[in-house]
Amino acid sequence: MVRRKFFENIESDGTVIGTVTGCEARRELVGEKFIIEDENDIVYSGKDLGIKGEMIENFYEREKPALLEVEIDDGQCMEIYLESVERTPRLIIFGGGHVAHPLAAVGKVIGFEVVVFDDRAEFACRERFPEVDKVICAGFTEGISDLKFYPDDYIVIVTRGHKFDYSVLSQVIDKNVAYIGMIGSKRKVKLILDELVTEDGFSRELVDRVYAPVGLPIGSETPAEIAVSICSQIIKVRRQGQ
Amino acid sequence: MKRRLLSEIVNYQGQADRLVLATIIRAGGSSPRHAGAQMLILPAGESRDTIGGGPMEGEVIEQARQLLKEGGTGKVSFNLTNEEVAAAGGMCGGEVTVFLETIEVEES
Repeated sequence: MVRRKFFENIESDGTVIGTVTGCEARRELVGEKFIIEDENDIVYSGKDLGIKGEMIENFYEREKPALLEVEIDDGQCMEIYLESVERTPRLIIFGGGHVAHPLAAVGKVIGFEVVVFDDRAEFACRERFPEVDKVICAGFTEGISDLKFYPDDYIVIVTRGHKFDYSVLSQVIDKNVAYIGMIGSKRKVKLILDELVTEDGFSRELVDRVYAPVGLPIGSETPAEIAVSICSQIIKVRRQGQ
Repeated sequence: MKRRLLSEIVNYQGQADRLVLATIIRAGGSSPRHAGAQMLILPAGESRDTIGGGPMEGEVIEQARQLLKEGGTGKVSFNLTNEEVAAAGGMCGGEVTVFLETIEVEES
């Protein structure tokens, strides 16, 4: 048994949560939890289990949950499950037009925190995107510098014109994010990508990282079908790393 | 734990005194979800997120209902061969251990 209040102590993403999932000798400890913000700061849900930061550190890679056997003070063994608090990955959509609309909806369904960005108030508004987490109305050239990007961000560029696509891409291409996709025909996409190398001096490696034309080739035609093809690609990158 | 599920726990506004958190702490074979998958079970048959669905999840929800009444923890292991799973209507086999724990929602 753990009190709900315990979970309120968990502030930052990446915080490690430990749970005693087994202890033959002292069954009353099963279900006790603890939080490790850093190894010198361990908060227990109930009893002090004598967990040491370095004890955990040896086993724990923050990327993946782990199940370990740990010896406690009186020589008994406890089974401890460790996990970390994972940020909800973000899907940031530049452009609020006809593709963005179904894309935001599908992105939400597959578990993303969805952000829509457009420079037109009638497209970047709550009425159009009631289900998304954030709608930003700002210019494509000046508004992006206010955004902070994270390694688990997925960016899709679907503005109303190639000029804006180019502008957005040139500002996000060197960010450390999980995915950048840009809409467009093969020919137009190639023009933009080449220009980023020849005019703006970005490396070929950076440019090759961009998924463009965006989406998996499933023959999609309608905006909704295109949204599904983009999300399929995002799932593939997220789950299979490519 | 996903931030979103954590928020569900912290911001729960309903009437229940207890919630149950189910976590896959061990998974092998071709189980549909990895270790770390979690599900929050609320009273009145409601739940958030999934540990893979199918008969295994059904069994976990059954156990969770008991815990919603009585409190405490539980651990349940599934060692499902593909035939058994297929017979029960599920898709994938594999060994899975699920830990269930009760969260007491106290008045603040």
